[in-house]
Amino acid sequence: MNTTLAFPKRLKFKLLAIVGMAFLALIVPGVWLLLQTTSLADEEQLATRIGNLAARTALALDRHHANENPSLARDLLSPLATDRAFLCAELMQPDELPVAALPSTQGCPPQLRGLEIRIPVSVDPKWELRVLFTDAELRATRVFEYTLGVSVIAVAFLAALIAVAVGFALLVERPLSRLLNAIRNSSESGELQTANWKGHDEIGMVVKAYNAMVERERQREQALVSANEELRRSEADLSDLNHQLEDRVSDRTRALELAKKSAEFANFSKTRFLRAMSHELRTPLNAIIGFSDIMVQGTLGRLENDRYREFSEDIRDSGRHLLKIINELLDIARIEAGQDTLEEGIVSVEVLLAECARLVMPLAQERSINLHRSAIDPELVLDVDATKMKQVFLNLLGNAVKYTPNGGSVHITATLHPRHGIPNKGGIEFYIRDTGKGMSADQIPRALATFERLDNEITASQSGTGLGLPLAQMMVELHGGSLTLESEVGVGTTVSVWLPAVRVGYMRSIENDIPPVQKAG
Amino acid sequence: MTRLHIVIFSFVALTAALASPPSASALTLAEKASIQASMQRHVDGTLVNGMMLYLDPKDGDVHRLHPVTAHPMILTMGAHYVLCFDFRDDDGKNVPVDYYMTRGEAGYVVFHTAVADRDLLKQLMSDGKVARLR
Repeated sequence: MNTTLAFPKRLKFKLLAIVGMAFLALIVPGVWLLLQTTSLADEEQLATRIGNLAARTALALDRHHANENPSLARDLLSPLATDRAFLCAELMQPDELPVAALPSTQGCPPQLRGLEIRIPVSVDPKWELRVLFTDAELRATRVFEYTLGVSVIAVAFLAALIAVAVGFALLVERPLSRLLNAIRNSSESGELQTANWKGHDEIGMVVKAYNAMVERERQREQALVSANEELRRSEADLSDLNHQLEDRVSDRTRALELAKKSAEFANFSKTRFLRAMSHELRTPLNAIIGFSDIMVQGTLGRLENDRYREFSEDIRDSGRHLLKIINELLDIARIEAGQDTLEEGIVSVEVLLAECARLVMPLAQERSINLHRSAIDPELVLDVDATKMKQVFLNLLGNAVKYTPNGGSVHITATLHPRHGIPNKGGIEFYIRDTGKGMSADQIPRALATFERLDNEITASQSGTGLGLPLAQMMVELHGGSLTLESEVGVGTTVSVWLPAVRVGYMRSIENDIPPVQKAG
Repeated sequence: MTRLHIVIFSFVALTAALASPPSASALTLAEKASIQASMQRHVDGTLVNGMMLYLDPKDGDVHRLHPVTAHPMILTMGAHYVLCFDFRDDDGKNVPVDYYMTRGEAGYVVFHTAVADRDLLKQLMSDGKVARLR
């Protein structure tokens, strides 16, 4: 494997070390036990052979009383020489010189080294056979067996190591090398590459899993590339759309600016026209109303013809109606032009509502409508433009009475809302409830729009300019308040007028959430 | 010293201990030969016309046993030794004879002979009283 790892750190070395140690740990004790057993058996064989041979020789010597016949004794001793371990033998009495020996001319010289056994030949008289033998054959056999054992171990050890090394190289090293090369090439080139190896063992499964992972990564990269391409196209499209949108917004902005300027100019022109026309109309209209009223009153003499007097009344009433329309138009124009200012002053809520109710009362009584006003603290005051607020309440009460069928009722209440320290919260809210036929939800916005008339049976019998309610709303909003409508067909309508807390106060100074009257803004 | 060094050192020490030559036997080779010779002399001394006569306590018959060969293996039983000799009866059936020997003043002597009683020896071996002489 082409790697920079030092050999002791390589997997092959570790595997060889483990296998080698395991091999030696198993085979060395086995061979050692085998050699020891073999050596012991050889030793026992030699001892048995020499012992039996010496014992049988001693038996023969005893039976033939060879101690009395040295020649016979030498003949009986001679079979001992057939054993290769035999060194020498002597027939003697204890502490006496031998009467027969083998070799017969030498016996067992003192300098001869060997293993000695003494076998009793006869008890009375006591003769014994002394035999010397060597274990040279045992040592030779032992050396041979040990050499053979070590050789076998060495050869088997080397064979095992070679087999392990070759097997490792074929089964592990080669596929790992290819896998490593594939990973390195992938890392260096930045392009994932598969490993060329097919196997059904664990390494083969690893390589197969790696290749599968590479394939999945390729597919994912391909998908990412496609997604990026799609994203780039989308970004380009979005950029185009953005440019188009910006162009359109720019065009639309220019168009709106033009439209706004045009509208402002038109509104300005309308306002100027209305003001001019209102002013120009009101002067002769006042003359018409005044002269017609003189004619009706008969200030300069009563008109003899009743038809003329009725005509004069119609002229006066129509003039007054027309004047009202013109005044309202003028007020709207001034408010829309932002030229209207509030002439604020302290006014009692009780007085304000009582005055309005008093003015509307005749019409209510004429139609048998119960006009009811809840009790209001006489100390409660408003810091408002009294004229405008009176106009607002007159308008609202007039509408309520006007659109309530005969025998109905109109109820006026006022409720204080504490602001709990929050400047834009709290205030006073007025409710004008009637028991008229009411309006549907889609009619409410139209009722609050200028010049809108509800052209149905509700208004067919009523006269109106369609300016009263929008004008009242404008005036309330001019005070920082709001005007809302709630209505239900067949039940009635409730108009709510809310004025902020800064517009409300008491004439007396008491600790209350509602502070003493201050001049607004 | 790394872990690998410790493993290698332990392995070498174990190998050296196991590969050392077999230790000397409890009896020297000469003593083994002497005890074999003593057994042989005892066997020869008990033969009657070359046979060993054996009174079987089970059937009360005297059986004639012919000596065949001595076993080279020597068993030890404490300070005593056990050697075996194969005999053959008239029917040609092998009859094991175990000789229980000890060292006397004039050499090794037989103090007990177990004829056809190998169960005794097996029992002693299973009790751990008798083992092969190393």
